[in-house]
Amino acid sequence: MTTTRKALAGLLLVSAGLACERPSPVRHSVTIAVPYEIDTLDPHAKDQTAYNAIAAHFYESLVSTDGAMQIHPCLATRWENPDPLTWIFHLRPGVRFQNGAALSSADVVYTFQRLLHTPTLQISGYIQYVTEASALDARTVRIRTARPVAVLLSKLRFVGIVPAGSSFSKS
Amino acid sequence: MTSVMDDLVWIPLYLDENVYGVERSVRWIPRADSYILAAEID
Repeated sequence: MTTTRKALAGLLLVSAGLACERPSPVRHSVTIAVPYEIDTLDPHAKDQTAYNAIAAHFYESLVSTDGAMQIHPCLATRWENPDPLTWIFHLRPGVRFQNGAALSSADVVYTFQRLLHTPTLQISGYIQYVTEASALDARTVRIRTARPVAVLLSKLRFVGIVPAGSSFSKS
Repeated sequence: MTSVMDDLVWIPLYLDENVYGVERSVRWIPRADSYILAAEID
């Protein structure tokens, strides 16, 4: 069993806690063979299907897509555009990271700041026109863009939210 | 895929054809983005 396959054997265990997926009790472990190997679990480091698909088991985004690529609420339950350059996201209550910390606006702001200030992270390409992310309160985040981005939600599905203060090293 | 094509989030450069082998007892529908997500497997 390769390292990747060993890692994937445990994915069902952790995925049971994902916020925007159907909750289910953990009963079994399942081994999934996938045609790729990865060298980091940093969800922002690489923009390749292999990395994104694995990271999607551990990190969730403000929005997600179903198998037909339709956008659905995920860590954000709803959003609105007060103007073409502003997006207000309302975070899902009761979400916890696997370290037990509760999801808050600070985590979303930290995630965007990390990407905005670290252009070597390949996922930063998905927030190309984002200029600012700020917390309006503990569960409300405002994102501003330099120009109207009609497909922003489709891009944000690739931006896994990490706990504030997270750091990653290449393994 | 319709949404992807309409919004042009990505510009497809080629059509990737995936073939999956799935045991009969497993309920799973392949995704348009080729992700295999454990949470979507029954």
